Amino acid sequence: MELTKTFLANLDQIGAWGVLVTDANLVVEGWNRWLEKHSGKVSSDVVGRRLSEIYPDLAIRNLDHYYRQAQDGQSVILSQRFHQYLLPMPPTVSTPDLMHMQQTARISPIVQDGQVRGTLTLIEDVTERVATELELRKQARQLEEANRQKDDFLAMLAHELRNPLAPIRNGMRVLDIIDSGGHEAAETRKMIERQVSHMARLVDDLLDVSRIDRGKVRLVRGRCDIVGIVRQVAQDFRLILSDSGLSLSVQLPAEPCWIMADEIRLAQIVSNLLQNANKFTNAGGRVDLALQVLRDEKAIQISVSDTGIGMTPETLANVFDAFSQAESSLDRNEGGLGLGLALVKGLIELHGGTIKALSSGIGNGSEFIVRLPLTDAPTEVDRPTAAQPLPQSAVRTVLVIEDNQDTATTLKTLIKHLGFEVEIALSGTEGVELARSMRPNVVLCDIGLPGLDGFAVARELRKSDATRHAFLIAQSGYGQPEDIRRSKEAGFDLHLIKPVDFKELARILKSSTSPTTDRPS
Amino acid sequence: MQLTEFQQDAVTEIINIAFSRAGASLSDLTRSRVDLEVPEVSVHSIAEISTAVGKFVNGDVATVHQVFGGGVSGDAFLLLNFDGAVQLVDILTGSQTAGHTLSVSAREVITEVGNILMNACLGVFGNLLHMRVSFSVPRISLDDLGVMVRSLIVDEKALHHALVVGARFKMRGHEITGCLILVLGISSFELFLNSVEEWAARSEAGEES
Repeated sequence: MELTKTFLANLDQIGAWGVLVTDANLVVEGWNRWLEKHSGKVSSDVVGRRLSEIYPDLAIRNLDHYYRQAQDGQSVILSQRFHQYLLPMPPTVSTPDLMHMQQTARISPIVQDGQVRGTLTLIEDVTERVATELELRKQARQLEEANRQKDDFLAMLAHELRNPLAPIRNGMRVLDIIDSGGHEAAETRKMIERQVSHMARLVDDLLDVSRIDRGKVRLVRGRCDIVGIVRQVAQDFRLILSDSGLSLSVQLPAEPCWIMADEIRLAQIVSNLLQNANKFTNAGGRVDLALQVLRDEKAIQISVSDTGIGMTPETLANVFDAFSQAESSLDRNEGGLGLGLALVKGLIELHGGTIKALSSGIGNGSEFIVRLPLTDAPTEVDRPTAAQPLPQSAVRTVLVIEDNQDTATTLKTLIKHLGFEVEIALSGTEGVELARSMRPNVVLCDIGLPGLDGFAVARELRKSDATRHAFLIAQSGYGQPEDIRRSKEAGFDLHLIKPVDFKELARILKSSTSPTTDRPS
Repeated sequence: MQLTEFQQDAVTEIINIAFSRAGASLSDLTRSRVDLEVPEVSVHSIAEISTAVGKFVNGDVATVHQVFGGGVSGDAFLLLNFDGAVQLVDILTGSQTAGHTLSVSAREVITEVGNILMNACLGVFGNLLHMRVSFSVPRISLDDLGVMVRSLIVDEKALHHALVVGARFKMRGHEITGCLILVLGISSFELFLNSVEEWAARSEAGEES
């Protein structure tokens, strides 16, 4: 016993641990000063008593078997994460989350001549560490929540920003049709058109990134010739790059290469990569676009490299993060939201592919390498909604139901110029009433109407003999398969996503036979 | 070195008993069903251990080490791929590790898991083989597998054998495979195998279940 006391006194000088020594029957022999201080039990009160008598809750908390293991010669560790504490003591850090001092404990047998003579318990106070971890977790949850709210806000912002773009675009088309104002006006209209297109692209990117982050993008996969898609995008970009003083070299296989993918999204991926090269390469530079089929790896590889400004290792590490851009201190800062590459990465991953970025540093250009799985694609395209052809009879009257006055008015003007009779209604209720008296051939109806929404309008129109046979087209900012399904169920023949491409709408209205497609994004 | 079919079956059976106990202990701790399976058992000289261990883990590994002594003596190791260790902590504690790290708390969890597994094995060996085995407190280290294996070879000059056991944790639809290694000196290894054979013979004769 004296030896144990001396041993414990020496241990007290080495470190801040609780040290408990028992004999082979778990009768306490040693109780150091640390334990006295934190447990409130002085050595003379516990020495000589059985541990189970001092701490009966050890058995209740199923911790007594660790002592039995030690009696059998096994050393054990009790991690804080699983057990919180071995012996109940007040917390050493004041926090409402912790009722007891948090402990990690080690229990070892004391073996002499091959026999277990007792046990040694070392208790470490880890309360401060646990309190810090709890606080960090709390902060992480708050950050996640803030991030979710930001994503929701961006999604709503992008959606709301889309709405005013539609009437502006329509207005431009009206001005084109009526051909007002001579050469200067035409140039100004082109400028406005370019800027509106640019803004629409930014808003679409914002909406896409937000949807990818929230797992709300669904691909419309079909059998695509990736070579043809890349060739088409390259052709579209040749002029754009040339305007920037850049040359484009394209290397593609001669034969088509079929993969199961979303055709439009694939074009978007290649387009964004070329757009990126265009932004970060100075005039006189070169952009190389190549596609290889890696048969052994059952993959295709697309690489886009440039002789542009290149990237630092720091930029490279975050290049696919949303809102990340090359530093503005570099001479060339092309603006934008920094979403293009984040979007590319998200879309590639949705296709089961990978992308990596390479750069040997500032001034040495960049390269992006995309890999997409090559699959034995079925021949059938699973695009979910093929639009119905319009009835054979010529379309003469169109009713536009739209609560945004500007959008409604500009649509009316545009459709009138196509040779139709057009009426507008600014609410669902008004639309249903007008339709019954007007008996339109086509109803173009917004979904998000106040009061009677677009779905309810469609159901009402399908009920009435006067409007049952009208061709119903839904216009919505939402294009998920679920949105399209709801439109169909309500009675719409076609679901178009805002902003509606006017040329496409004109084709639908004019054509009574040729099929068209809508496209959920 | 290769185990005879009889020895292989006997060692596998003993380890299965131990893993079943360890699984029960982990299930009690986590209040969720944890199954521990033995996909493979093999014996190798310490010089050729690298290939055997490489079937289960590679790259950066978390290693829990315990020294044991008594009837047989040696070193026991539980090896988990670093990623597997992070995932194991997450599924056992029902939490989500922020970032790709093993915090001090997470290391303690892995140490306790290794401790439970190795104590179960060595405890079962001791009981079934009628040998007294005592163990040191477990320690965890993070190293590259090559470094870890080299430390085994460099430290040991005498001829040693290693019993390499795959360890497959199954819980909440996840599966993480690690590797348990028991390194024994030649005399301990022979004693171990003799005891295993005696145990198997007693079992066959119906003296033990």
